[in-house]
Amino acid sequence: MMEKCFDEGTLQAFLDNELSSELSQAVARHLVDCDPCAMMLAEVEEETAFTFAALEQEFNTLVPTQRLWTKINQSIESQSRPHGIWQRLLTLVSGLSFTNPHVVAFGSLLMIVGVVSTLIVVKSDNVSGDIANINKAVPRIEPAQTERAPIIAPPAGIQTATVNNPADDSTFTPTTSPQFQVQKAVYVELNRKPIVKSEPTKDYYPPVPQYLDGEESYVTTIARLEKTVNDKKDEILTPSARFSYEKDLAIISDTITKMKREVKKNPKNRDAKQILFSSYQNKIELLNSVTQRGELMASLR
Amino acid sequence: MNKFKVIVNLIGSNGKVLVFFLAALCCLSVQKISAQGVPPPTPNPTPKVKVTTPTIVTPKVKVTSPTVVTPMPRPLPTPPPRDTKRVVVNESETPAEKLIMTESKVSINLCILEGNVRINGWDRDEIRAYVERGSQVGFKIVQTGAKTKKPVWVNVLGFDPQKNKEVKPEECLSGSEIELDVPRNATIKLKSGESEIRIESVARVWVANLGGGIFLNDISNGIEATTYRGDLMVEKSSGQMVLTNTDGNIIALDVEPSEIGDFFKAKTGSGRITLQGIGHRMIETNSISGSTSFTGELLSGGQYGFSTENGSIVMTVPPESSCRINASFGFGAFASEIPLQNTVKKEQSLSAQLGSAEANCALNLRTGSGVIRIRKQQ
Ligand SMILES: [Zn+2]
Repeated sequence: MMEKCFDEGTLQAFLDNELSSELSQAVARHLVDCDPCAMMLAEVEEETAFTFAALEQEFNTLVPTQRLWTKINQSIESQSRPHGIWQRLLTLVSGLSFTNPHVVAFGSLLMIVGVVSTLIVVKSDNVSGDIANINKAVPRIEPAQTERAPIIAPPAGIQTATVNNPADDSTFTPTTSPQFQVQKAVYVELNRKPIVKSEPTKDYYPPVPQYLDGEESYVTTIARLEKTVNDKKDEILTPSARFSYEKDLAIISDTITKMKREVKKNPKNRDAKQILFSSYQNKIELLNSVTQRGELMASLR
Repeated sequence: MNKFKVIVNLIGSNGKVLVFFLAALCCLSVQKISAQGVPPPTPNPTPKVKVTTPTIVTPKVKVTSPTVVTPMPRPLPTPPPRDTKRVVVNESETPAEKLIMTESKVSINLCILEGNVRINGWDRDEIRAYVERGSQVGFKIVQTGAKTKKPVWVNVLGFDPQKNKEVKPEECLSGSEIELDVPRNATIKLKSGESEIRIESVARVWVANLGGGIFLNDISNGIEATTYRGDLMVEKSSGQMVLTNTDGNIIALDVEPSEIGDFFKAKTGSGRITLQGIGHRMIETNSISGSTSFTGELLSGGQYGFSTENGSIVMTVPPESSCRINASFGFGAFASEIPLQNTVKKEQSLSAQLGSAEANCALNLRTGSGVIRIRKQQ
């Protein structure tokens, strides 16, 4: 028996992980049985790729998806360097056209609401999805917080300094706390009953060390590579190359953030850990590709 | 104003999202306006040779377009003219052409700044090089064979080293059309700036291209190819293969190992990876946002690893295939048209047997948030 087909918007949201877990499961189940929807999913994927290509020329096009949020996060992160804020405020004042009273009114309203809400958010939100950023004093604003992820206070002072072989996670020590189940991932097999998952038990969240075993070496390698790449990327990358680089970086960072959250929720989740580490590896390779590109350019001089 | 509507829809009814949004909007307007206040970037005072200082259009600034507080678009600085310092000796409208006798097994190195490049294997032990509307051409013999005294290693240059001894001209070739005929047994090592490259019927290829497509056909003993933009296609070839693309598709059709143990690797950022009729038993692919599709048999003894960040992975295999499947799909999904046995499911992964349990074949599939599908090959 075939259920009702899904519209393009729902499939787009499915691709962007913006659906509730129930709906996401329903879509995934449906996709196995329904070739038209599977085809449409493929088309939506193509369109997404196309949209990105179009964005390359039309930067002012808006794609309201997870990716947008990732970008917004990145922007906030990079613009919140402490030294620039006064200069920015100054330029904001000098750059605005005050001849239009609406601009003034709207701008000031925005400023007030923004500052107040940022303060509120900062106070109530101590969880950063990205361990690599935990050491920064700057808070990250994450849209994913709206998913009502459990708030886990970051452990003060707990630091695992052990650096293991990244590939070796056998030394990972799971806690003995009850397992927290996540309902995001979906497995569906043709002609089988859909999986019914048990309700998550959420009484206790154990403290989590700042780095997982083997994670720190990735984080330090990435930090080192990022420094090199950030110094040179303007010189090495053409605008379009820069665009795909930033896009790919955002996608990887998004996966890292999500998987870190999963591992935080359930330190026994080896799959999330594997995906997390493979995303770290991808990030390293992406950064390396910029360096290699620079080397090729230099060799052609 | 439509964009604003989209944003409003995006915000929906969730109050917390609204708070976030306004905060983000506020911060971003500060950033954007400050970006406009900063004087336009000036070109590097000591510009490097051949590097056109790219106009950097930072995406993070551009995403801010829905903010209404943008008085005027930011003017884009015009890119400086392409570097003119290149020394092209005797550049003329007359095509340049040279021929040299070599051993049949010869290594050929060259670099090309730009052009349409065609390299063809032929049945003669000679290299013929031809450049149309561009640089001159010449050969530098790096090494000769012990017995025959014929060259076994030749560099193809953008000038004639016999004639241009005192000038220090550009070593790289450039031209609108660049053609090389080389012995079938040749190994090609090619570095390129902006070229469309086509190489056929040689033994071995190493190629790196900054921008432009690479098409390889009938390569008998191994490929290592990288491009940073454009498609990378390999057809009817054999040997070990390492294909890398940062911003384009990878397509491999009818390729096989030439020795036991030859592996096949393909890696791309946002492009698609399409594999069909791959005879290698060790296959590894990796992409960030691009999807991966594999069509063909899963061979006994095969070790297959396909991984993406958020692209989909579609495996189209014969229904009677046998392989052990390990799939992790993070926030994605897994679906199989072919019934699986001994399935062990976890939150974000699954392991199962496809077909006979005796098959000595492993299929590892991994995606962060894409969809993994196993389909029946018709
Ligand atoms: Zn349907």
